[in-house]
Amino acid sequence: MSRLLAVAARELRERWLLFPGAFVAGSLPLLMPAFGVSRELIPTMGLTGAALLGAAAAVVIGSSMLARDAANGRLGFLFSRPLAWGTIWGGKWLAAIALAAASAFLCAIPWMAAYPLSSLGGHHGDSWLLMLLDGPGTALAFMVIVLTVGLANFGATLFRSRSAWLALDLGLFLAATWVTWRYVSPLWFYGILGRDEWTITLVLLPLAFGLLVGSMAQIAVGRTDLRRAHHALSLAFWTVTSCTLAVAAGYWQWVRSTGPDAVSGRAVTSDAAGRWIYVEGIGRHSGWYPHGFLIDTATGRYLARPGPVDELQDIGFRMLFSADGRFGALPLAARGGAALDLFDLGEAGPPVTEVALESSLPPTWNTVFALSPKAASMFVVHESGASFYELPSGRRVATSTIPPGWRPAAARFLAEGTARVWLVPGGLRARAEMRVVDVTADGSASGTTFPIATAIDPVLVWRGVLPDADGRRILTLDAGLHLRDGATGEPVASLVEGTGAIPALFLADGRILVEGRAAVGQPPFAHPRLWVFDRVGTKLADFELPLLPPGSLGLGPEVAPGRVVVSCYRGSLLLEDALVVDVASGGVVDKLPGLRPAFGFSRVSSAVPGAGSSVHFFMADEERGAVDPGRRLHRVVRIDFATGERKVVAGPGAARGERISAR
Amino acid sequence: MSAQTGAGPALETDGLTICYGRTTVVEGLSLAVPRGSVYALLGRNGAGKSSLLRVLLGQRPAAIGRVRLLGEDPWRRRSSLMAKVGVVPEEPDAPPEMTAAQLSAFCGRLHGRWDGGAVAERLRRFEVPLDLSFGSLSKGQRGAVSLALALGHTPELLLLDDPTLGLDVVARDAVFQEVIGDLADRGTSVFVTTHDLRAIEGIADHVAILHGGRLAIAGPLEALKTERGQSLEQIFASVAGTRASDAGITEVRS
Repeated sequence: MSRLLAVAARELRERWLLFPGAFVAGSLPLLMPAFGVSRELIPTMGLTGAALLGAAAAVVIGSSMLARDAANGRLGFLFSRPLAWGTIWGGKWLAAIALAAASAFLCAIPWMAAYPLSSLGGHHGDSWLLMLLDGPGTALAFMVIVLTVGLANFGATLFRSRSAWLALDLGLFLAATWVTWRYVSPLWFYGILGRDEWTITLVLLPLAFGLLVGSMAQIAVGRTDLRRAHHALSLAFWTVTSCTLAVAAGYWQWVRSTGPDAVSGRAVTSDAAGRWIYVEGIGRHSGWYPHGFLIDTATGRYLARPGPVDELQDIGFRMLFSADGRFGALPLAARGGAALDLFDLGEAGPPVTEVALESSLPPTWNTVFALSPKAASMFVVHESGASFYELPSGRRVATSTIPPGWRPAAARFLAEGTARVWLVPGGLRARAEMRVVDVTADGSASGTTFPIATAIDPVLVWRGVLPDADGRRILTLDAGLHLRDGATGEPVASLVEGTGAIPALFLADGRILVEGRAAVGQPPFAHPRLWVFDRVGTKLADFELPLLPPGSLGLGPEVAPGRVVVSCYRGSLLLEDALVVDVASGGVVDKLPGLRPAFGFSRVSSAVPGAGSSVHFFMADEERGAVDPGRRLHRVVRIDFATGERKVVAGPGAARGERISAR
Repeated sequence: MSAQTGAGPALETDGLTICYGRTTVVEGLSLAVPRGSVYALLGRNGAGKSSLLRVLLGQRPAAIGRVRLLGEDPWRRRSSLMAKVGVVPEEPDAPPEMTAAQLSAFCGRLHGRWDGGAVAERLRRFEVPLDLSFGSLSKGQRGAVSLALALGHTPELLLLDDPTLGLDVVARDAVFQEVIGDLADRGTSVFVTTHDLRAIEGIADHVAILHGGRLAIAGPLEALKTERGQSLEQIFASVAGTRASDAGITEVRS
């Protein structure tokens, strides 16, 4: 140990000027008030300066401690003494870390002494020292110093050795960068590894370990020969790095291999017959990575959503199904524009075609997609235009420009070659108006702007416009719930007065179901009430539901003609049974304990299951009432209300079927 | 006289080959340095002498062959061997910011056995100022400091790599006087590489000539001179002349 300390002390002696230099540099922020800089900014300037100085010291020391000494022949002085390589390595690293840390600390002392933490207010406590030396922060700072010193040493060794291995290092660096981007970065992007300081420190640990092991090999094997040292350093570092990347990439592949039986269902869309469903869910070890599965509920076979690079987007476009049940379309961003993965569900496999949408913009959170009933075309609306794309070619056949200041709220196909989109004011300046635009595949388009009672709340925009299945009528959420003509926006009837979101549902026969609200100025109802209206907004019925006082009521789906599921969610500790209500009588005909209707996705318009569809999907809470909502795993349950058959198709309890590949 | 442990040669190589990548700088070198002798390895610049020294010091491994210093493998046992071996490099390599006194103190912390007084006495004899940084000394003074540091732990074997290269006559004589006067009497083995034939002729017991990476001739100096009827300079010239065109061995400056 004394020899190691002797080596370290010699290194420190060589660079002792760093210490007074750091102290002087740390005093400079104290002069700033004389130049008009705010007193409150001094600690920020001081901290930044200390961090930069520490980093600069680490770079200077790291680049000189081994490579420079080897190039100058000075390393031979130590190697011709009775010093083990580990003593030389340890002494030099100890000195490098001590120098970098001490430089940063000395640079911080002057302004910390002049500006006590308590004098600046805030919520940091009284001690700069305690604040700076908190566990995670110190560990992370130490890791950064080790990394900086190690990288500087690596760079200096590469530069000074003039070895042809430099090309190999560059090649491996590019390969490692590609592997990291493609297979490792998702672990970070999706929060699979966590993002706190301890986790960041642990993530950096393998890189630091690789640099430390590399410099050990540099000294142990290369000794005073710089080229040999470079080769040893490269071999050791890239071996450690490769192993680390392989483990991380393997972990990511393991995460991606999660099947539908191991996810907590988050959202579901299905074809009209309820055979094919697209389920998005979160795995227990998957952070917030959105697993997506196209599942054949008849056989259990499933396709995982392709990727992975495109998956680094997390925009909620999920699969759309054509009304005839033949095709599924998954929107995605590709090659600077929008694209689709088009699945032919009528064929075994099913085969998939990637369709690039011609001259399209990349999808954003404001893009709306709609698939035609027979999947002959896709209707895509963004803030500047509404376009028709022919499928499967992706050729753009019609476009209608949308003037500035609008954003799409909902879209529907009126027929195979005609689509309609409803727009609401975009941006921060809300306006009490809406616009409807009809576009046809032959290129004709028409638009109408119409007034509404009040501007639609931007927060509720995705629930602010509810079209019926064929787009002929809409419900708008403007100072209550209003029934309007879908083509012109002309008001037809005012259904409910009030503010906020008001649940509503179009029934297959045209009737409208809404949650009743007490008139303005009247006390709220003791229990939720359902109001039933005919096609033109004439109230047909008003009945009370046997549920607790109003919460977040959910209406739908219509599981049989005139029979609707009503659910109420108040939080993880207070879940009420979903009810099947007969709309004609107002009576509860069934209860669905522990089940809630599986909700779909906003901004996509699939074919709505038509009248007569008896298959519907529900979420089941695995740990109903669990104190920790994060532990709740949602199963997706398929119920055929015609036969009474129930089947878990995703989540715990689902039979894991064969994973098939469409590519 | 220093205690000489073991009965074998102080330094021994057997079929030693040294390579830098695909370039061979020493090939098939076999020699033995008897304990207590002064052994001079002669060769022109680029003959492979410094490369051989690096291998002997355990700073590079041998590509092929066996190397033993005081009976031990220098690549594997470098650290413990350096407690018994003193080294004077061709280019003085001590940290330039340290004074001779600081260097002596530093080495004293690294060596278990260190005679600081003897080092100071040698430096006084060499007229080296103790309070000037190593980097500011003249080349001759730096060489003298290196020699004094190499002898501070009373080594059993002293390796000198062209120690008089670039020195004036006075400094060169001082170095060899030190070697002759101080070491030979103590029985310290000395292995010196040089091309300073005139200076070494008076002190070496054995000589070997390395040419083109191969050992051209080796043996007791007096026996060689008698056998060939030539001076050392004549032997060197004749050997270097006949072997200069050897094929297959590349001469590199190392």
